[in-house]
Amino acid sequence: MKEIALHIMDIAENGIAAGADAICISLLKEGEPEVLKITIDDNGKGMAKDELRQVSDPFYTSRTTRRVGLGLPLLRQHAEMAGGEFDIRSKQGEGTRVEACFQNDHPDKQPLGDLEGCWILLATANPGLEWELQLKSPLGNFEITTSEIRSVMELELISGSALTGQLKRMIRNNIDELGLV
Amino acid sequence: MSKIKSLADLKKIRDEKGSGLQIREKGEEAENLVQVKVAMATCGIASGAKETMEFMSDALEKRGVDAIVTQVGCMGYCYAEPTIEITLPGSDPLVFGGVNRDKADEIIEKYIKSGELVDGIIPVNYETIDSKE
Repeated sequence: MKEIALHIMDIAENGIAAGADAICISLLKEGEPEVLKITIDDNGKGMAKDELRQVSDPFYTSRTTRRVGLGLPLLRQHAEMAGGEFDIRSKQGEGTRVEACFQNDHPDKQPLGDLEGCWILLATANPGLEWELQLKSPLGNFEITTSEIRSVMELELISGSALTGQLKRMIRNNIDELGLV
Repeated sequence: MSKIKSLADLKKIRDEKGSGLQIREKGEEAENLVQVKVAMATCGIASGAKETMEFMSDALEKRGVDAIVTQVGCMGYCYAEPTIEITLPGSDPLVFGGVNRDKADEIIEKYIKSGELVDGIIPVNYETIDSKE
């Protein structure tokens, strides 16, 4: 994983696998020194305490195709490498929240990467779910959801490269404006 | 042109310029379309599945192929990521490995458009002994 955005996409996939119908991705820049906090919230089936304890062990996985599970451990490693923290909370039947913090000026912090592309890809490839994106910094905030896009643009389905291209530019403009890069 | 910053801006542009947006009608039968599934677990994402998927959906749309591009979890071929599964209408699914942009382009031009097989197929048999006569 070379970008934080790819980690976000990877963790969001876990939410889909957990049967969530709503997944919220949020990025928050705050504090002095500056910290970038990313949160991925899903309302899937959640995990029991035993399972939760093991999730950041790379040799634990719920899948059956192979014996390793690297998504969460890699995110944890990258957050800690950048002077940050990693936290995961989950309740059975309610959902899971993954949080990772990065020191924003840390030399080992990965670039944010193509966040808009990842979010749009998740939203268009999984139209049955409600996707939310929240961006916040001292300069302001920006929020968008897939149901909002559908209702404002009067669409049943978010598709087509013309629309997704415009949506990506819109999100990128807000990322730039809030100084989240 | 001013920067698009909100959905209101986006809607305004669409209302002024006409949509230019192609919208898929929901009722289309999946069986009649080319179905592309991109494996997007940690292994796939780390190997570039996102670029593969973006390229697939854009290229198929631009080249006028009616297709559904979706994402799936790990198919178990972590050594061959990014992997994609393609189902042409009326055919059995085929899995391709090592699908970067160039490979994806080749797959669209040769396999999807004319059914010609290309290098990189991962042999998978979906039939079980039980399902055979």
